[in-house]
Amino acid sequence: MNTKSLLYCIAAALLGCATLAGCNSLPKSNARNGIKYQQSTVAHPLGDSITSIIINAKSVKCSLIAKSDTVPQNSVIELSQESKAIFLYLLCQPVNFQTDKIVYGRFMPWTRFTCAKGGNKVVHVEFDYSLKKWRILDHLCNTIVTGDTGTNNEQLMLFAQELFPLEPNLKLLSNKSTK
Amino acid sequence: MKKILGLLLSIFILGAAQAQTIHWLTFIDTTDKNVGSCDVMGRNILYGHFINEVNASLAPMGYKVSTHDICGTALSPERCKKEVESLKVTSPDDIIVFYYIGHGVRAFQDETPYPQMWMGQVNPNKCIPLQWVFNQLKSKGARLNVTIGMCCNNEDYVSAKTHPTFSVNYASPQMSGKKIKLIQDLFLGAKGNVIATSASPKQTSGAYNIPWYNDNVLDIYTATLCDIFDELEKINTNSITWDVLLTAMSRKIDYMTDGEQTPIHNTFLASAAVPSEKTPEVPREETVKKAKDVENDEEVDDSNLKDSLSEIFTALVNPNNPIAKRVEFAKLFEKEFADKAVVRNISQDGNIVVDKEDPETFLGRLATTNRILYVEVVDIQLSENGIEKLYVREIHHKQ
Repeated sequence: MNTKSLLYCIAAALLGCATLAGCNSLPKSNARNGIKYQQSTVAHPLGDSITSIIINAKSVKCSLIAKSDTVPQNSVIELSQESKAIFLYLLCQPVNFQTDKIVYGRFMPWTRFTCAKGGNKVVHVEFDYSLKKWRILDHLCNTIVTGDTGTNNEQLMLFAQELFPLEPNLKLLSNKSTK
Repeated sequence: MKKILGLLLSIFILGAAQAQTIHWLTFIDTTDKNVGSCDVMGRNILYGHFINEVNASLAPMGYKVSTHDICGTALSPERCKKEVESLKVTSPDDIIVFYYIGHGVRAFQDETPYPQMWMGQVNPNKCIPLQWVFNQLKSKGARLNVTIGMCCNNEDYVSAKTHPTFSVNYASPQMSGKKIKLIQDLFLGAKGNVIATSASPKQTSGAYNIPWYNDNVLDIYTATLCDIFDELEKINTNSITWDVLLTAMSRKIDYMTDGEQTPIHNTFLASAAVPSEKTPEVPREETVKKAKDVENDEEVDDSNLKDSLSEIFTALVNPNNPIAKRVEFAKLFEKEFADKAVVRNISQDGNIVVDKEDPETFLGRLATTNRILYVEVVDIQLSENGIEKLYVREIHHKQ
């Protein structure tokens, strides 16, 4: 990634954070035939303490939780400054905080981003690209909040593919659904 | 008390031993923290708007009902495997319907487009493939097999399997003659096998606020199935096939979810002649079994008891039976109720009590009316003195 792109990502991340701090997320409703997405919990902006840990994390490590046999066992990558900026940019997209639909599939995390600010100030951000959902857990791995990745899912998957190019199922999943 | 009820039930069961049966196997996850409450509603609506109406439409054709309603803590892969493997078809005209509501998943590049069902647990090695259920039921020799999985079909890190590896209407519903005929056509006008699921490969299935069910939350697939069933008599056609029904559902859900959820199905059917109506015989006193035979019988379990009672009541309301015989049996059966027993009539949606009667009035009404099509026994409480409480749901002929 060149310098220009990196600067763009950092600027977008900062803009995203500013937007996030001020916005009130509203549930998105599908007005077709009057049906509305039913949300188990309304996706809302992250609280100050969680946002602070993520934005100001001293280190962000990504582990590939679900993997095929082609990928080495201990697949943990510490994100570079560049990658951290991209991660923040993608996480802070407003679309991630608009809905948390009830779906008939179990959350099975593919990747986990561990953001550590120091001491016990650790949060984990997990993504299930197949279910198109994310969740944030505290340092004891209790779920704090969940949401839908929505239209951002493809970008998140591409980012994961960049980090773990040997994992074939990420590529398979990024194909359009078959009907 | 159960012995006496067992006695009367076995009269009826013996008399109708050769009758064909529609077997319902419903597996519904009502305890999951995310979808459990939606599925409680889904189950009520499925039974109220689909299953009971099908039973009511097939009863005049002589079809008995065998219900395997597995939900709550009883739901498990082991239970599903056991129920599917042990299901017995007693007549080549039997019909089997399998319906699952709960979480699902698909293995990467699985050969089948149909998902695996979690069955209320979290071990991916214990998921039950819908295709396996379809294949098992197909091999039982029934006239028609319908296998439906309402669950997600998203791809995730589970192994591909070919088999299990270790499991408000606030009143009584009414059905017109046209709707009854359409349902009979659907279930008896073809023989073969049907498999369907609520999402295409890689898609998820969702729960929504459903405006036509008072904004209650349930899965959109079951809600759409029951909605189409409710609207059957408005369709400008004299016959309906599984392909037409399932394609209509798929298009509707695809439209409502903006392409995010598109159900799929396959039908392997051949046309069949719809048999003519039969009149189930009202039980007679002189065919009573000896009491000592009943004492040796196994305990009649709740599900069989409810189905058998429903059968008796449905025979009682059949207008093709002479009223004199119906009234005679009503007086005989009244003795099975305890003093001060109460019969409560439940609405089609939810569990609202719409009417309360004493047994004499209830049975007398059943024996003398021509308006009731089918009576479902929802719950029963027994004591040493007899039936203490009875909860029923009635389906009426539309006037």
